[in-house]
Amino acid sequence: MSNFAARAQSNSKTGRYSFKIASAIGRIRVLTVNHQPLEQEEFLRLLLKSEREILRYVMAIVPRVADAQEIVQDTAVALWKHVDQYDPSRPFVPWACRFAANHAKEFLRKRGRWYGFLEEEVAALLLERREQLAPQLDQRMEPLRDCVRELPEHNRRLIEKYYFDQKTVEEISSEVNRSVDALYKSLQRVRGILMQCVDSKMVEAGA
Amino acid sequence: MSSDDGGPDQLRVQDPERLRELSYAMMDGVASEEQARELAEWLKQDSAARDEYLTLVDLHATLASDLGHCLSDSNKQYEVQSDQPSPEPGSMPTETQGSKSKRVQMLGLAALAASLLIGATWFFQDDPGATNGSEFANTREDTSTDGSQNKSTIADQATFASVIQLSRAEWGSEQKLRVGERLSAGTIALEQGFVLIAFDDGVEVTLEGPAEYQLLEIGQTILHSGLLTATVPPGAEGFTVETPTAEVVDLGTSFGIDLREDGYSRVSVFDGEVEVAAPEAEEKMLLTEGDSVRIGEDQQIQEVEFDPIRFAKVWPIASGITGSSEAFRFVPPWPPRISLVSSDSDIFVAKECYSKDLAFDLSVNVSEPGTVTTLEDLSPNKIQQGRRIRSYILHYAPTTNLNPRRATKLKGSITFDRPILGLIVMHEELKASSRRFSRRAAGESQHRRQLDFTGEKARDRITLSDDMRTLDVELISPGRSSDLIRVIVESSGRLAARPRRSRNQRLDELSN
Repeated sequence: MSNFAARAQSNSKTGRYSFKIASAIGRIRVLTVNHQPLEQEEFLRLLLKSEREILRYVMAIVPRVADAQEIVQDTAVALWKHVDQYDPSRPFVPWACRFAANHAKEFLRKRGRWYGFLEEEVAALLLERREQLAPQLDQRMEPLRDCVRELPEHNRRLIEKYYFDQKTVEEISSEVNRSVDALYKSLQRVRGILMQCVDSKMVEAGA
Repeated sequence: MSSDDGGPDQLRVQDPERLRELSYAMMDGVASEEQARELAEWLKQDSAARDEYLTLVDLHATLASDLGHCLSDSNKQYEVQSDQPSPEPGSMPTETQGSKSKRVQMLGLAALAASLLIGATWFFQDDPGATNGSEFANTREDTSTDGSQNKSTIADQATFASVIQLSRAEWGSEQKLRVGERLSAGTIALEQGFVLIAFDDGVEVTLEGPAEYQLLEIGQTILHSGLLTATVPPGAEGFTVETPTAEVVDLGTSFGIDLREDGYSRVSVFDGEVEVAAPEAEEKMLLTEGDSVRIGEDQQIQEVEFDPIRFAKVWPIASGITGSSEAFRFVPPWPPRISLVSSDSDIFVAKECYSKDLAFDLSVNVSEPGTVTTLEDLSPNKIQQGRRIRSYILHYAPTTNLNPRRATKLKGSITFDRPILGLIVMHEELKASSRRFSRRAAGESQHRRQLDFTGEKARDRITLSDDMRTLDVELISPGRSSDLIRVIVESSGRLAARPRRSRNQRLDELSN
């Protein structure tokens, strides 16, 4: 029960955050007249460009989409606050991912209960490995897109509803008149198909 | 807990099935406490399992972060049937809580911030005093018929493009283009302002002055200086822009080129794929959405940060919007999903699709000039199959922080470069049309997105001007819902038989 309350709170917090950054932009804009950190446009550019990558990184230890998105938002706010620490001559993503990792670990700590399924040690292990695997994982993205396109219509629709429309399985279930259980099974099956499809495309490509 | 605890022996990665099951349960947020612990323990001890898990999660994460990417293609590939049999509107009462709003915000942070920036640079007001401003209404008629009324066309068979729109355009030479004018091979020297031209195969190019742009033939052009964006519809792939240092071939969809930085061609892809070649170095690179490169005189292709914002000024005109006021904000061609954007005070406008011929009869709710405040005011109609149209989405998605008791009105006016054929504002029709158009889907499947013409105290109000080009809206803010209007705009007049080579032929030539 108390967990639930904490959650709702952090949700509404996120809502406020997006406001904060909006007003932060206004404030910082005035500041940049004198200071010379990253221009707001430049920062946005970097953020826009890296957002997906940060999300993927976070999901290695917080695999639930909505939670990971929340973390990315918090991270963005933190990045903006600390933008003066960023050295523009160095790559943005690793810098941003450091913040993201901290926020993600913080999230796991707070969440406690089973959701904090990763001890810090395991989380660190996973993130470290995720960084090593990044180039390989990146290579799988394009084949994955092809694979989604190649899916039979009904499977593709399920993926679209779940990932692109961000509907919950319950919502989809009431839309298509199928049981939640059956939909979960389908979802797992389609993920399996995609996984295989990507694997075989990687083999074809001589990876 | 010691790691050689023999417990999870049977859980080694030899049991990938089980690993998948556990990982999926975590991704979907439905794992039990035991499952979570089992997975954590497993990952702690088994490096092979960690790799497998990370690969699984990244597939999931890529899909989640890849908003819109796949949809852009599914549009043309699949003829979409209407949605599953009747998802009862009443069956989703839970959606009234915060769950939906969270989604709207998701990755919306950067989008929101970006749109704030764009809002700041948005100055593209309808200014009757501006060059040619008053000509729009008249000359547009010329271009929207078959061109035979147009003086230059009759004499000149070699024309292959038309001037669609001008804004504050000033010209470098005595040559002054006018809206509706047909263009043949030649050079456009724009000193300042903007010009939108359309090639007969549907490619649209918007220039921001100062710029010098040479048309060689249909599909072959040279940008000598300045900045342009191009939108290439299906069927016109292979459209090529040469620059002093590079050759840019569009393989479909949209990109921008900026030459304002000395000695460099900077190419950014908003959507689809573009091939960039440095001809002398025989270097080539395939760019996709979100990529930017820079090619210098040394013919090196260098990846640089994606920066759609430098093209912000040309977006409105590139989208065929001649003016807007008050609450309207224009959404750039990126990020692709308008549902990521939310604001309390703005209505976002996004172009949804390229000009295309309707493959079906399209039901609209409003098809006549006048004001709509009640359901009786609607003028339902069908736009006939075969009509050439474009569609736009107007989208009002307040954040959740608004106090619903403090209703105010949100007003705005938007003018298109061609007549509006119809508005889609009711749920059924929004939903039916959404799958057809909605690359930038804005959540029409939510019942609450329709306009409200039944409220007792306050209602939404929309007015179509007599010339059907201007739409005024007054939305109750915050309404009972976020609002969505789909605007279907005439887009005929640029259809010509396509004496074009295939994309492959063009690419072959390019590589020779």
